[in-house]
Amino acid sequence: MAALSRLGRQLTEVVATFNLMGVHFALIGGLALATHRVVRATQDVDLLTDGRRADEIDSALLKLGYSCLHRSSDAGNYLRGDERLDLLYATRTTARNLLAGAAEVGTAFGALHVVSAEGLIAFKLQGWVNNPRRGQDLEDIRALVRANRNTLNLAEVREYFRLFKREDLLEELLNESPGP
Amino acid sequence: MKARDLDGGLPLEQPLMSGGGVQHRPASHRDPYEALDDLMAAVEVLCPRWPTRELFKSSGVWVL
Repeated sequence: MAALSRLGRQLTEVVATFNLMGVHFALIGGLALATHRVVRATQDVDLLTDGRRADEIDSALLKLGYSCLHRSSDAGNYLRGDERLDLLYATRTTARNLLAGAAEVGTAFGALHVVSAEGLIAFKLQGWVNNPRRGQDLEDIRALVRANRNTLNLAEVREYFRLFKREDLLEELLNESPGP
Repeated sequence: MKARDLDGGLPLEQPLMSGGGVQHRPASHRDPYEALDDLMAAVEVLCPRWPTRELFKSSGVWVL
């Protein structure tokens, strides 16, 4: 199915490029929410990808017409017109495991790997801790917990909140969405 | 209020709709990415310019 939206066309192009390069990647951010029962509008494409391929990815994106706005060993922001592409580079064990474990999902945009709900919560938490003004990350965590309360691996989720020293926040969220 | 799965499962979260008090859920068999593509096609017509999104901070907490 050809994408109707500009976001869909942007995603399709990036996916085709990464697949051609043999770069392993997985959806995170607003696009990944759809796999986990949360559908909301989203502005940009967010991907978790192999940090060891960051230089090759940078070259490929520049060829596609993107400009690099920011790049570190952890993450990169790219822009083409008003199309944003944000990348997190899997370099540490946790992110590499989440990338390796990302399930393949058949979607309207073709087969895509998507990070688990637990992993998506972890990345949203990291985003919120790094920029608490981004309330959308916290709202996404809340929605993910509510929509997946019966199937979440809570031990894994607790470990992520412990990493960021936000255990109290998780308890608040769980109390808002009591389990069975 | 949340729309509920037809099979009695947990609510399908639709913050954009539920924020306006509108209850709606796409057919349960529908690919959520197709629904998202439809949604974004409409949003892009209504909101051709997005607010500027901040960049990542190198100094942030990156532990994952």
